[in-house]
Amino acid sequence: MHQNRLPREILKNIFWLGDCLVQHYQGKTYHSYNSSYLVVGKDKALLVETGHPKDFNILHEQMIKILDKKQVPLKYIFTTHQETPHAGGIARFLNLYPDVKVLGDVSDYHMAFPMFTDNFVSMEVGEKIDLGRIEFFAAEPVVRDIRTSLWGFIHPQRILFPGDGFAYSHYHWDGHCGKLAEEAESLNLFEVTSVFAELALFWTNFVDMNIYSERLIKLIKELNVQCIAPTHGLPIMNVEETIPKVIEGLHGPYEKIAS
Amino acid sequence: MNKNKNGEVVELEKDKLFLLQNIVKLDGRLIAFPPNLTGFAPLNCYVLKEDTGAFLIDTGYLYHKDSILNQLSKVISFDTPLSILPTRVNEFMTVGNVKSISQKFNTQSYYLAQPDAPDWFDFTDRERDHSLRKIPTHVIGKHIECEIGFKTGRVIEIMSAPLRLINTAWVYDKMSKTLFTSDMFTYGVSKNPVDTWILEKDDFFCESQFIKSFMLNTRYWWLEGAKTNLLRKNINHIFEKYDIKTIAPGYGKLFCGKDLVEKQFVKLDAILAEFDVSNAKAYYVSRNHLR
Repeated sequence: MHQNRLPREILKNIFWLGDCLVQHYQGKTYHSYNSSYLVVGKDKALLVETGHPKDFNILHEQMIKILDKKQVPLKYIFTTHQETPHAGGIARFLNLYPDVKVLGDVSDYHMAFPMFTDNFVSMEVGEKIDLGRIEFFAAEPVVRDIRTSLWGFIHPQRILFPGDGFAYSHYHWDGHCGKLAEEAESLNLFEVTSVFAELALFWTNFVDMNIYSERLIKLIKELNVQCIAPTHGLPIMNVEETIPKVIEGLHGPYEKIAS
Repeated sequence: MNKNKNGEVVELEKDKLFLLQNIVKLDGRLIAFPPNLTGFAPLNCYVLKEDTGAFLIDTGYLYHKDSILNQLSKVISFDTPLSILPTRVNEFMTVGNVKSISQKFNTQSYYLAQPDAPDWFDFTDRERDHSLRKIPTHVIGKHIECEIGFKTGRVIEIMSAPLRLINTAWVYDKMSKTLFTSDMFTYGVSKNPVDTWILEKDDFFCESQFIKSFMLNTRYWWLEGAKTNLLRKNINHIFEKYDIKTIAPGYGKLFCGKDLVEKQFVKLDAILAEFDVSNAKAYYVSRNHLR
């Protein structure tokens, strides 16, 4: 049994929600996240990702406690793409919050959740919504799987929500659950990013990732990203220090095959 | 082959293999098809049946729940022991009706890349149905065999797809010589809502250029300039290993007949060869980049 260390306020009014998912690979037990993030503006709250289907009740309880305390209503859900660990909770949230709008590339949702077609609002890269003192933007999805992916970005905190980008597991046995990337000192970011990419981002085994990491670094500079809140990895608070290790791991599968 | 109507069960092998099909209009809103492609396409689920049990490959979008339940009830009875395999566990098109089928039919097991299958598909209602957790999950690794029914000797092979975007399973059924390819060979679409969805000869829409564009504008956006020779090797291995009479994709037209099947593999191989890093330069592919 593990103790869930979430929710956690990673920056003022930005909360990391969810629970770990246990996965086994080559005799080792890894934990990864299917995280959600709650962005609480002055007037409205937005949930990034709806979490793994198994986590809905946990996630919902975490969210309610925060919003009750803040006295801010949930108005929006943003999903980075149409995979069940990212968007599977849409129906369960909309059953409870029928006025909430689901933002993003909303392809497929009319077929997956036909009872909620009026709740889906399409967003494109660069479009934004105002939560009250926080603006949420749709951003370019550099590292992705499904073609309809989108990333999120908030201003003024300058946090990037990259969905499947910066995906890596963590060591439960070494107490990494609920920690930020920089706090998990023994975490070998190269290894865990590389394993995750090899297994979950099949295409990274065959594509020269220099092309994608160059664009990633450019995007981080363009947006002046200060923090990164990935769906599967631990949140990254020191971009300059941590990103090179993650990018090196992203190159791992291709270089392994090349060698 | 006759033109089958939308929502109508097609018997592919007498008493043994059935196609449950729903036709959708392509309007740019389905992730499995190019956003600029118009026309119509079938979404396919398959039932492999024996007297003592059945095996369902994919379950369709929730939108088609009533149609899928209705079609399935025409093929098996409510007490037929049933196993279910969603070939792409993370995609709504394959998992949308696992829950409702499990509740209505005698579901005995799930086949999935992950343990605890209900954790991956039980999300469509206000509350979870915890009784489904009692149904065992067989975890698919790279390759697993499964018998249809009880002591029938009809064994299917479930394997990790040799070319995929996300976690995907292919299935080979030796009895019907059918390869179920989930999201590969899915380019058989039509301009018309009523058409021949089971092909026995090549047609215009399956030209290599169309297939190439279809792949690059959907889940295989990353192929140009990739090390595709490795993928070719794995795909060719499957073509050589199995005696394939029918390619049965998760969506799009089916390809029947050894010649037509071979043509699809040859076309795919040629396309992948063209895309290989030795022939094509890799470049950054942005969202919505159409080719």
